Amino acid sequence: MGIVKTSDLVFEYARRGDDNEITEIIRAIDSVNLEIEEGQFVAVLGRNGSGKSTLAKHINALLFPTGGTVWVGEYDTKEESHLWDIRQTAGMVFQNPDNQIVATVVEEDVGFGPENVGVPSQEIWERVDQSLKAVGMTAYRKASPNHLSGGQKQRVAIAGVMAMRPRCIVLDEPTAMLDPNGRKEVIRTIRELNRLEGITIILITHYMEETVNADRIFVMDQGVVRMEGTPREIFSRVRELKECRLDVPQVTELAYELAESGLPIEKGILTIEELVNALCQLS
Amino acid sequence: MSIELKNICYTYAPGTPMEQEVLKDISFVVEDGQFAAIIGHTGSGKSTLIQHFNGLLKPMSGEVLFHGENIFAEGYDRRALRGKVGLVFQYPEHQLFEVDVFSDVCFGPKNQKLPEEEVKQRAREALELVGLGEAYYTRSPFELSGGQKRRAAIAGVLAMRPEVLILDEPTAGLDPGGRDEILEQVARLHKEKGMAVVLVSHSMEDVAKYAERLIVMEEGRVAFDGMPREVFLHEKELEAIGLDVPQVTKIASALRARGFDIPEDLTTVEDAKAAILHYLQAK
Repeated sequence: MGIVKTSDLVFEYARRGDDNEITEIIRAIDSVNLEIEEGQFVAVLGRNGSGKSTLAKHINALLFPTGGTVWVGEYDTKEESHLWDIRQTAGMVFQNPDNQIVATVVEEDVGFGPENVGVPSQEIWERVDQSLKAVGMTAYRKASPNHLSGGQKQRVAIAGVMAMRPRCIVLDEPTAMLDPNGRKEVIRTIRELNRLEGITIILITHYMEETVNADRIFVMDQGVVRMEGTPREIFSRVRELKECRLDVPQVTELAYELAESGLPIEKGILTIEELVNALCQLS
Repeated sequence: MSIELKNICYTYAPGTPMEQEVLKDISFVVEDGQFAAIIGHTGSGKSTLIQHFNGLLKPMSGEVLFHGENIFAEGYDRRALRGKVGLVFQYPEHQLFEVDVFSDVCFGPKNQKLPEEEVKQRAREALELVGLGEAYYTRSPFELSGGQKRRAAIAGVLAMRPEVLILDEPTAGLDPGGRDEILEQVARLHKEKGMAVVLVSHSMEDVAKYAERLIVMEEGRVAFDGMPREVFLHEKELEAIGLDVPQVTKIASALRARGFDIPEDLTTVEDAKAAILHYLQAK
């Protein structure tokens, strides 16, 4: 069984009027079935309001299903007695780096989680050392988080999650507020955690470039999983992606447009090199 | 010429250990009705620079002229200037505070003590310009999507009927659909109303698509200034200062290296498609 699995997951919430009466029931997630294998790098794409963040919060047991079931590791997230096991299995990183840092020194921030669950102090320091090393922030361990760039802060937040020794990390648009360099830094870090530490990554984003190396992509739209496949499969369906208000990297779009104009090249091209090679064979 | 900067220097926290020279002798002119973009990585001085345009920051030395008049001269009406040079900050929706969208957009003109009918007229006009119809007037800003909130916030600035619109990363954190909505609206304002636009952006693709002129900032100086397609020819130099060129430009130079006779200054998917098809058909 995969590390994360949902079966007919439904989540609804109520919109209330001035007198607190229910005016509307909104179904944010509508019968989602998915399974994520341990060790995979999975990306979830979707426009704002497509239900991707709501889905993420179910994996961390911050939200509970209205219908259906979510399993994380061997636990059903509805079993309240396993709440902490679930959160320890699947850690979460959010969009805004400033909202996730609690301590005034980097190493204390990273140690906050394990300290909170009563890990012996010798082991806390070992975990802090390892986590900072894994995200490449050891040199900043005594620094104040205030003096870090956005990308560095996100890496500290990721180290804080790592210190809890999770099997899976869910990142909800971790790069949305970063500049291009910060974005690259964070993506490189999570790819390495996946490759070297074998941690399952669930990356929620709307930057397509960040997903080209994923093992699997899920595209959400209006609460359902509308597309699922490898990056190559997903990116060959440019028109459908645009219908979901997403777009593709320029190279993929150019390949798609050229193929549509009748050139015999494959759709779903992901890199500049691939496109250049394909075109050179034509000339 | 609408805004002219003459030898602007600005130092942050002068005389303290935090002292930092942010702008070093910057001079350029933003012409009437021009669509200019400013790029540069975080810390290059972009945000500091644009706050000089409407006199929010005063340069340590140098002059800022609006229609030939020094905005820091004694008796110059900087309050009126801020209506003419509208500045949209990053995450402007954080500044929405009224109970409904319409009141929020009215706030600026109302503050200028305009007659009530005029205030309402301007608010209606501004909301129409950003594509928010009457159905949104009475909605709370908190009920809107990210892209809609941001458009409401931009309408608040437009209600002042600025001649120049300055936007600091207006698409940060939005999904691709929301990003296109905002930029298309801005492009329309530029085209139909002849408004000058200064767009601070991290996206080379957006800059290539919309701007007529591109100013590249690096360590408080102007590193490049020209048409986007000219500036993007300096791929190596831009990379050296941590910036990128559009993917299409890289594809064009890779193809040229492999013998394709196509222009080297391609920056948009449309242009590249036409050039490649033209070359292959001619063969």
